Amino acid sequence: MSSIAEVIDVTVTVAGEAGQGIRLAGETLTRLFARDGYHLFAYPDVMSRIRGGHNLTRIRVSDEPIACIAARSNLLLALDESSVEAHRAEMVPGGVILAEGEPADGAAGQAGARVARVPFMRLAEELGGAKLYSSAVALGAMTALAGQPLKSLEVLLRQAFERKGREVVRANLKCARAGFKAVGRELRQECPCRVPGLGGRPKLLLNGSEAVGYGALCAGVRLYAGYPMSPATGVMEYLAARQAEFGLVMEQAEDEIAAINVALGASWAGARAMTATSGGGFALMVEGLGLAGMAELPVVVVIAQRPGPATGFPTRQEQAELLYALSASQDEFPRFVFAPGDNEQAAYATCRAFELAARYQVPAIVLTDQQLADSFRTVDDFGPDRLARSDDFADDPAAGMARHAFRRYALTASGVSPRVRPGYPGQRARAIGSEHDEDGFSTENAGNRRRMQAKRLRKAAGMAEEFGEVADWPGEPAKTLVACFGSTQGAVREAAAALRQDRVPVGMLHLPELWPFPFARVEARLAACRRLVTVEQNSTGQLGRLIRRATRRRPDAEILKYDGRPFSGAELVERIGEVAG
Amino acid sequence: MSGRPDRESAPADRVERTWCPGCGNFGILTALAAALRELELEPERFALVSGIGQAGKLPHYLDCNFLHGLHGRALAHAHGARLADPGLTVIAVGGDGDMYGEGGNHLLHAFRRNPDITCIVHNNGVYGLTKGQPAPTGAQGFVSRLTPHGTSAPALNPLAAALGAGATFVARGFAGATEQLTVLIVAAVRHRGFGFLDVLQPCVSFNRVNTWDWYRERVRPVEPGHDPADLDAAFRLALEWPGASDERIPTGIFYRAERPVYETGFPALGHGRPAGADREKLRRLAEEFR
Repeated sequence: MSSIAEVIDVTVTVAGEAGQGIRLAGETLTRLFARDGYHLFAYPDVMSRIRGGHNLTRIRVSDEPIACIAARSNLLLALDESSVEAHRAEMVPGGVILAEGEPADGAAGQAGARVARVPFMRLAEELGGAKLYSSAVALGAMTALAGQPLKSLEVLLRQAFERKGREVVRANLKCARAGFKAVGRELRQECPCRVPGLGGRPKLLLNGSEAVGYGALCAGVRLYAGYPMSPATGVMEYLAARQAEFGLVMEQAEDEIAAINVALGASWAGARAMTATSGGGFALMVEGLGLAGMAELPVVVVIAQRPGPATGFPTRQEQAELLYALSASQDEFPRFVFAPGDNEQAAYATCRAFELAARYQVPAIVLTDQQLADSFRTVDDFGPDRLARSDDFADDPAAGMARHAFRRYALTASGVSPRVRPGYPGQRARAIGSEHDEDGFSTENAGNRRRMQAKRLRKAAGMAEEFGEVADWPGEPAKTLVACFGSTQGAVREAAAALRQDRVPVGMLHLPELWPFPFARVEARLAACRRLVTVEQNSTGQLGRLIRRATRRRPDAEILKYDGRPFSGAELVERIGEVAG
Repeated sequence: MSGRPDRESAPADRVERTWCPGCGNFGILTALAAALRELELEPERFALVSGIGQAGKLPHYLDCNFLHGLHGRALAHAHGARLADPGLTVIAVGGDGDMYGEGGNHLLHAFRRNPDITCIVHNNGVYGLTKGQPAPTGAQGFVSRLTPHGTSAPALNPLAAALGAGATFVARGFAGATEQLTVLIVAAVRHRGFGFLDVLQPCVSFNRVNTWDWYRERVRPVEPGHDPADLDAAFRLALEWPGASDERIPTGIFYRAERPVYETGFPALGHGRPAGADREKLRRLAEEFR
């Protein structure tokens, strides 16, 4: 914790071509800071390719909690030469760019950034015997520049490479030490990226995909069926690695249509089931979503949003599936739509999605996005205690019933009908996509249709009562209310805090639970504000349209960002400041 | 009433059979009901999964658990049900539109994966419920409102496709030979793996070419000497029809082999339903993030 000293808030960036080891370098540095007890937010900005191109990881480190990227970098590791020029302009004054080369090569002291050169390759070959150890040299130098002790890096390198044998570990350590020593004392002291050893309790470090997977395991998910699609694949990978231990069936389906329908078949047979995909995959699943609505089969669908339309940017950030998630599939049926704001919220939302989907026998959609899915964010504590799970078949609605008396789609006051699994003695489990009677047989009777559709829609009342959390910050009415959903809340909140320090009266309203819409809560907060500003990452202002539809209140200003990159707090300070009035 | 099986679902005493009189589906229903009796499969132990079309209605006419789902997706639903409850015997039924058209990708991968599911295809070469469009298995030159000049592609050969994709049980039946069909269904259900059974039937309303008589003149049970373990022989049988000539249509078990059942590849599927996770395990899992 910082006292009267300045808050530590620096960004360490690793940049280069895909295939150069950015991921390892980025992960190692990220772990270094997290193990030391720092808060951090690490965002991967990558192209959709395996080799070449230009990729980077921005690791923002602070001694106070953070949830978005910063606009500038304090220290940058350039794994290829083009990164040196590409990022010069974004460095803070005096910021250091570390790059390959002999010290004399460096163009030190140019306006803005300072380029420091260390011969990664030469040292790697001399001390490790192979060029591939150049990453270790670079990491050693970065550790020195960041003000961290070498031994913290050594622990991580040992862990990363112990599987490959003692020789490999020794070579890495030797090279890391050389890189560390290659940074002169003067440079170390002048580098504006001091993240000195804190010795704090190591923080938990996880990204949004892992959080979703964790939440699903807490909910007792038993079947995951999916098709790989960026940026959703991380959920599948996390669960695949733990399937044996947690009794989960992980099925890579032949296409997304199979994925949703396998999940529905499993749900019908009594298992909590889910899938995760991005917008394009969801588009293929939409008919299946409707079957969930009509046959009243619980299912959780995670949509990790990315820019479209069509292929768009496979690996980048956007929030343009909001209205789609609310309305997808033909005709009308109730559903839940979540839009968690960070990794912790994502775990909670996923677990809650399973509970609520089962309770109301509806599909539950969890909207994440590339920023949320891929960013690593530190968490102090995290675990199953807040993530409740019930047994979907605990109450036995057919107990004592005469044979065949059970009516799967019985018209109830709440709209929720009793459910049994196939195999229940003396009764039958039926599920059907046609309009049907209370026993689950198809019928075209008009009166039955009116009653059955009304029954399904009736569930929405109960759903709304249990749903619709909103988060406002700072918790008191503000003249200008900034509304957002999903992962933009980190940058919005940071900007709101900065603006309030400058006496600009703004507050944030974050909506992590979008449908059923929290009408009363939102209306109350709108009533207390003079100006409404919406912040979202799509090009037509979907949240603004939803709020207007729900409350008749039109945003006074919309801040939209749809270039595939996430907001930084600084960008929003400027843009909200312009319209805050 | 024609085609009424012995075992009926009690509420379905009032479920009207909406198939046309003379429909081949009645024969398939009769054979399936007889097969279930012979297998001594009580309704609590099996489930029917169907798609959309006339064939999709079949589960309504039996006392069973059923998922009557989307066009072409029965195999995906069946797959999910098996993975959730490995103790459940799952039989997927559907027409040629369901299985060979809309749901072709699921069928292809079922051949390859070999899940323990029985798949009975009602193959009448036409889309009946939607009133007469050509099906993938309809003969080339089939004239309909959509194809006034006749279809221009040859019929799909689903049994050859099955053999080529690695299916472990490949058979063909005929709705007019219900005794043989019963035997084939029993064999398909008993088969450990994907039991693929293509059943030829006429559509009395929309297919004026492949009628009851047309089939009766051509279907012939496979010779007793055929070895179902012989893949080459199976291919030869499959390629007889649809093929160069339509003089003879072999029926029976073309191929049968043992290969690991797909479900056995999942570490989570031991015996019965997989277990969940306790709070202590989840706490330890959270600590892995540190």
